[in-house]
Amino acid sequence: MREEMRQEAPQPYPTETPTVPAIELRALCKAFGTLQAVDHLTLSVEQGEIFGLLGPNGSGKTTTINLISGLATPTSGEVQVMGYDVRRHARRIRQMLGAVPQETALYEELSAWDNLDFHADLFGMARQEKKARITQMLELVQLQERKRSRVSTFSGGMKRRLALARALLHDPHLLYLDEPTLGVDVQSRRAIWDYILSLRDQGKTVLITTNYLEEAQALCERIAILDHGKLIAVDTPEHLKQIYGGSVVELETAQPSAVVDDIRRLPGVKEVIQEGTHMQITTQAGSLVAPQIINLVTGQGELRQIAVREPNLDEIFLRLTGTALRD
Amino acid sequence: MHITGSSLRVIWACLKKDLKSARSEPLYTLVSIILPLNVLVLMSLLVISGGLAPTAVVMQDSGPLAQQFYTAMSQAHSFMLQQATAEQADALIEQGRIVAVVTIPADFDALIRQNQSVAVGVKINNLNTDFTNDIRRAIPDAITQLYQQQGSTSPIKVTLQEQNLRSQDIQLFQYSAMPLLLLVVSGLISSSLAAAGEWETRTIKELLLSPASSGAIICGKVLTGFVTTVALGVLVLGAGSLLGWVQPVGVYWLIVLLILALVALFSAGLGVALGALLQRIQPVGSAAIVLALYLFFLTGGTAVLAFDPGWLQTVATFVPLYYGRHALEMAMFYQSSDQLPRDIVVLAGSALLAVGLGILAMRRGLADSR
Repeated sequence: MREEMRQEAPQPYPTETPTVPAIELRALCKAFGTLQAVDHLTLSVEQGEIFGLLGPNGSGKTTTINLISGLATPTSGEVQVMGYDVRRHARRIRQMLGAVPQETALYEELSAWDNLDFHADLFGMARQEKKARITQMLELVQLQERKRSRVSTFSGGMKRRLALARALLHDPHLLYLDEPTLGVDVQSRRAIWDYILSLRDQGKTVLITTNYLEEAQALCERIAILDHGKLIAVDTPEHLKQIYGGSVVELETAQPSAVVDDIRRLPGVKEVIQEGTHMQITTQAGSLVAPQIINLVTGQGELRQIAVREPNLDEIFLRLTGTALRD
Repeated sequence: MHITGSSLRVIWACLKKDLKSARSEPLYTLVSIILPLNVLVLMSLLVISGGLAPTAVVMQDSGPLAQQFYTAMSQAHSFMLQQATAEQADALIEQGRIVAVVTIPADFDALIRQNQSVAVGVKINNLNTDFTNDIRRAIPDAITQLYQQQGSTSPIKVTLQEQNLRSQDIQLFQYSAMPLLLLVVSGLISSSLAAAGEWETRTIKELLLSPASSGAIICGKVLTGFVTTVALGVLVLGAGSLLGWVQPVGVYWLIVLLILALVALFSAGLGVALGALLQRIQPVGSAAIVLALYLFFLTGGTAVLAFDPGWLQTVATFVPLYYGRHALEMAMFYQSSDQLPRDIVVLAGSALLAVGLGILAMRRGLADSR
């Protein structure tokens, strides 16, 4: 305890150089016994970016976040936040970090105001600044009228909004949101998305983990896909679709088609799913196989409908990890 | 230990937050108050129900010696006497409403004056050994008293010369109020619940993700337990003083408060350790109540420990509250500082050890949660 007591009081973070990445992971590893939770992860998140961390359960997302916030110590590798090494400057980094954990971690028996007041004290906010800032944050998340209500009386969406207000209270440079809209109704979800997008306009860096690919697509400028602790892919959602997607051809025939095997044998076809008269064919990126498919189908019977579309992120995720995101 | 201004702010914030939580969740606070009150009520019931044996006396002789014998019985502090006819007394004992029927025969005075034996009839409802033995002890005692009142004419030449060690009699009911103060140990319930609650409700993450030092957070937790326990102890002491159960005088008030503070620190440290180790409210609550009761009874909660078996006294000397109880007893009832330095040293050492345990357990809990 003595050591910690001697540490400096939380200081306002210095003005960071915009060229320094907000988060930099180099060959980061974390093992729990024989389980390799994070496996040589190298990743960089720029300042002012909304970055998504995606992966099925057990892929290493939470461990990565814990390593970034200094809640866990790496087995090997490096973590830097705003240019500071997490191992040496954990408290300074926590001062720069605002977090909305999945469990919200709110004191349910206290009022919204008291929760924020306690957080402000933990982060060493000046007394005169505290009251104004709490009021401002409660207005931002539209909870000003419920400031004296116990949190236990709040809906899931209100709790998420309050947790977001708490995370923003000390004006952090980097915000981490773990499943920011989990259990939130559609209306509140849209409001939270708007807050998150407005944060980017304020120059904040936002790191999101989510199981909703729609959310990742709507919010994130770049996405990293993790599986078994390894980085599978990292890019913008559009590039991911271009690189890993290919096209999806959907056909509706008069009778169930008998040329499924012939289509499967075509070069550039990755997968064919037939359900009665409906067929979904996934092709490799850059493949121009659609005309050949149409020829085969029309040669055998009547083609009633055809559509060629881009794959969605769910399909890319499935392709990359071999599992659906919510598995 | 060097504590910075920001650490003090965090300690204060943790204390403020926990006190607000306690106010918002009065159930937990009530449990820690109800427990000692409940013990007090139980002990009062024990005193009321076990004190005096309801007994009917059939006075077949109304002579002065028979009257003296009746008076001696009524002063024995063992009977709740009522006079009855033989028929009424038989009916009462048959109905189970009295423990015994004592019959003073018609020739009681005459036989005594003739130096002849008198048979006092005693019919006992020996349903309960405790009451039965009270009757068996108290009636011969009343007979002895009767003879002693005869002075030089008494055939019994042995008399009683009582010398009291203490300046005042302490009633069992009053005596039980003193160890009740030690039930501020029940403060360990509130501090253990406050610590465990951080894990159970997962708010520990809010603490871990803050730049506050774990040392300051732990100090805040221990301080919360200390403050609430001292407040409870002072409340009980004040009530005891108003009711006249405890009467420390002058400087002994300060000694009583010092002992209370040390006991509170001991219980707060122990509570935080328990909460941080178990990290779940339900098992922590049960364990804290059991621990508080053991500590209470092992320090002589319901009896005078010095009269208990030797092995129990030996065990009690290893319980720090034994010394707290001794110091309180001396200060509150006898305005004495007998062995006070020993009591304070042991209590202070135990309090520091308990706080150390609390810090270690909390630090380990925080580290495991990272």
